[in-house]
Amino acid sequence: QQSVCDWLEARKGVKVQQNWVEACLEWIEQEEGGGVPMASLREMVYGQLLHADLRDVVVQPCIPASVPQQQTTTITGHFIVQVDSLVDVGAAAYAQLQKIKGQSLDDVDTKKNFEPKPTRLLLLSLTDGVTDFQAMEYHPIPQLTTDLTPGAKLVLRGTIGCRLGTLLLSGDQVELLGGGVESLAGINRQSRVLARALNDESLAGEGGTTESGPPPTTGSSSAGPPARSTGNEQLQEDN
Amino acid sequence: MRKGTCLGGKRMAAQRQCKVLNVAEKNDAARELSKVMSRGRFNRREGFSKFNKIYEFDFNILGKECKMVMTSVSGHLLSLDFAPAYKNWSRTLEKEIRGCQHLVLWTDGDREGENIAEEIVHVCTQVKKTVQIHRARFSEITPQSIMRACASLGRLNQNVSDAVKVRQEVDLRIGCAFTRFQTMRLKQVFSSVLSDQLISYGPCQFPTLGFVVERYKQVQAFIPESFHKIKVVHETTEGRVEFNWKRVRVFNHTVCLILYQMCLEASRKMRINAKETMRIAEKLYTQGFISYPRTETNMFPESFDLTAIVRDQTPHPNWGGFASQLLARGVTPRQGNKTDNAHPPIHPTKYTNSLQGNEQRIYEYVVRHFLACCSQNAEGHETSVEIEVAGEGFSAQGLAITARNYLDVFPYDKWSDKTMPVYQENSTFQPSSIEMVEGETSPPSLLQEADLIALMEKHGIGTDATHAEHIETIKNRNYVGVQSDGHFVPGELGMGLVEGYDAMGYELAKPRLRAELENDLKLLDEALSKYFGPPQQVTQQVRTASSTLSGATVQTGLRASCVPREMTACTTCHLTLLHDLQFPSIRVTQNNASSSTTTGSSSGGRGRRQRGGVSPQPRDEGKRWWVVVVVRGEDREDGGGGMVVGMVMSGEVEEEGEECLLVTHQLHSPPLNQIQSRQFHKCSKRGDGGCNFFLWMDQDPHPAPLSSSLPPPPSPSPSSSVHTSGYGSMNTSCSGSSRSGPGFLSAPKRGSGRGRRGRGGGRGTAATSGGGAGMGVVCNCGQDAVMRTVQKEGPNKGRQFCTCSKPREDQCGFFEWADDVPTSNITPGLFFYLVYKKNMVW
Repeated sequence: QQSVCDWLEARKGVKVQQNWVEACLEWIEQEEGGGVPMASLREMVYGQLLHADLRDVVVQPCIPASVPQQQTTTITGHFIVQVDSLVDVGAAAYAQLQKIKGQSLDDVDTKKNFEPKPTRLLLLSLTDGVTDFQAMEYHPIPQLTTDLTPGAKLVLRGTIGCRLGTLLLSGDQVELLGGGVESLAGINRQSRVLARALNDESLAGEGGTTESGPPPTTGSSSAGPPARSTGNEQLQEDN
Repeated sequence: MRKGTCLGGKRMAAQRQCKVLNVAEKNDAARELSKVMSRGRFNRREGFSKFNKIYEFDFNILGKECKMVMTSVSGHLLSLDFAPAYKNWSRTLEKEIRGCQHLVLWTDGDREGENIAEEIVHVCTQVKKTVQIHRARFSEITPQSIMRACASLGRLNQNVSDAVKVRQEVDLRIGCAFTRFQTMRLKQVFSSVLSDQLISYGPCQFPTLGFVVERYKQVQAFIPESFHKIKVVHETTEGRVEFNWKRVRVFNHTVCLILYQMCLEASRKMRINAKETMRIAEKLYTQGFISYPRTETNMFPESFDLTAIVRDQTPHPNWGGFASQLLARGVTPRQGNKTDNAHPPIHPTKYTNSLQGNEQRIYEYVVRHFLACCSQNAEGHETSVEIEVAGEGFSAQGLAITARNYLDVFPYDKWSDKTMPVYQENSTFQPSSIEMVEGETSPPSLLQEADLIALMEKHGIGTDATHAEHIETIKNRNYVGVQSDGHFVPGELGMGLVEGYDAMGYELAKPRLRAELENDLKLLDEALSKYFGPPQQVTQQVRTASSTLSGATVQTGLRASCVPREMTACTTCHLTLLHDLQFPSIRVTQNNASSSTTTGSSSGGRGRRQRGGVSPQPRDEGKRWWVVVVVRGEDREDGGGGMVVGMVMSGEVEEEGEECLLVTHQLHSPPLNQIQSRQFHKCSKRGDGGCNFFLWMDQDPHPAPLSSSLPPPPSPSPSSSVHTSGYGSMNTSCSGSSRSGPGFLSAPKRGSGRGRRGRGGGRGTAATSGGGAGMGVVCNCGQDAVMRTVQKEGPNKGRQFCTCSKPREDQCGFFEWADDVPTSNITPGLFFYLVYKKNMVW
């Protein structure tokens, strides 16, 4: 158990709560029975981590908490972060929302338009589990798309510039680990993020106003990937 | 043959030389083709139509020297309404073909062209059966293409032509039927507003209207958002350039601010300010590299040895080459106009290649400036320049240089031709300003005519030839209006129609339906030949399928109002009645007679059918109605899900008393000239006042379920077969025409936007008067038209026509030939289309 914690810290750069790992291991034991080799045990815990909300898991922030307050700074290292939501601020939210709803403007360009095509500029809401940050797609990050699952995990590495509390990211600094957070899937669905940008949640379309989570994998007991619930239960017990 | 002598003469000539009649689609094409084939040596003469000239020349075709007669038509010969002047080319054809042994068709190489060609053949062979027919296929009017066409004359492609017929027929049917339905229905509901207005529907005009409405709604629904962008300006003595940001704009203030800050900082690092520049220049002067810098003199003294100074610079790796070229071309200094009579213009005085940093940059500037002013002027044209500030891209448009000349050596300089300085690739400059600007998104602009046409093209609505016509139609119908700036706005009526049908779930104004049809027609071209082979087989298929279909429909009653939706579908034939429309008196109510026949009596064989025209009770006093809704798409359990592609509504309201109403439930089974119908009685009271009386007419008075009428025997004229019941005490002069009875259903002509057939109530002849005459032809002012005979001398003398019954001064201009008999017969293509779309049944 301690070794799994150490491994996560050493190899993945995340310092996680002991009792989360404990709960995780317990659950794996329930599911798989005993005798799971260490290597796959680690990987399974890691897999659960990708689907957990870092806020529930992480004990120690990996990104200096002062970053959001600083004018300009750089950070160097290896950081696991969670993308709570992301939005392309290079295009009008209204147009993006129309596109999602399949109501895009049917247009034919009759006047020759020389205006360059706007480039995508993603703005990401990140957390390292403790501090929330913004990050922007300073140079193209082809790994990311707007339909990224809310709560997906990234690794940021290298020297990253920060301005006005925002990390300036380039493609070579970002690795997509995957995963997601169930509780974010509904709230940070792309259409709702866009609708929020327009200050009108009702535009999100169906389920836009209610707290409609993803398909009912409440994942309470045996079925499904219950990583998050494991963590949550644990937390509740702790509290 | 009528004018024997004249013709005889021509024949003699024809025997001596082979004579070929060539017909192009338009006069322009005829002229150009003649020009190419005759190499400009042709004779031109007039035909019957002043729009279609006749060109004559000699030409070697079909392996021999022939006398060529080239003329043209103006689009379709058999289209619905042509002003008499246009009809004349068909007379030209009739006359010219007489002397010819061959007919070569030069119509355009598209589907429409193939169909027009067929029409030409039709006209010509009626006059001269023996003429040999050739189809010339060419893609452009060039000597090569035409010679190739002449060498490979082929045959007409019947499939292609059939496909066009299908479209024409479908268009007409849908257009007429729906226009009629809409007009009558809406007039009744909104009589005060709409009064006499025709509310037309056309498979093309409706999507066109849809585009306008769609755009308008999008403009209405638009939500503006604020954005920021960065603007870089470079001001020089020779002009001001504004660079646009590559990212265009950013919808987040912080993000934009970050990028803006970075641009500002980057640009600060670049700067050598004026003071610093002068300090360095002074230093270079004292070191003997350049002449005295604090001077504004720009005129070289006459004694000045420019060549020597240029030669000094030839060893330099960067500009030495230019200096050498300059020496070769000769030094041509631009003469300035200022001198302080103490110092010459600033110039290098000593060659060096060992300076560093800003000193190097300033020395380089002085040298390049000197070389440049000794060089020739640059010449240029429009271009675009992209720059980078702190990694952010910007671009600007301006002039580019064709002859760079001095610019080769002087990257700092700006194009002096006002609009834009010249930027050397990879050069750097100090922007005069970098700003962050706020803006707001604005809604898309309303459509202009050009946009609308482009959209129609994109979605395959109409053809080049008809785009303008469709737009004109929706304007005339007051569906849309045009603002003074040329933007289209939907009118209340147009908006209402589109939204209404949208709300009902029929996307009639969406381009998809139309596009699908066009696409199906393409498939039809291919599939016909692929799967069916020769036309005989198709005909066979038609027969088989038609008997199957009619067999099915015989047993089909109306599955009335079993479905608690606005549509009631007939399970088998896909006919659907709309009963929430409150169509006059047609409320399809559930009734034992109807529902029990639905599937119960389904063992129908041939024996159970009866010939058409059951119950020929004369009901000439009524107004008639049909209800036929054609649904295509999936046949779903709930009766919905299909797509309405056409709707015909009609029926008969009996005037005497209010006992019952006769409604015809029709199934247009292919071939199209055979329309099956079934009639029923029901109460004619509207709304809640009506009783639930419902009875199939052919079950009346006994429940012996001879459930339906058989298609009437095919008749030579497709139009006359429509009558299944004795509605018409019709005036004989009209009975053979396409508009007798529900004539609008069967005229296989092209739907015209004019919709004059869709007007008013019943259709009838002028002879019937008063009380809603059974088949009155109704003129544009809504009154029964009168039949007259042409008295004037001329080709039409003796012909009958219908016109407005009012005195001449008050006439509405309505005009229809009484004998305007459609010439099309059964269309295999159309049938295939129906079979191909299994769910679509007329």
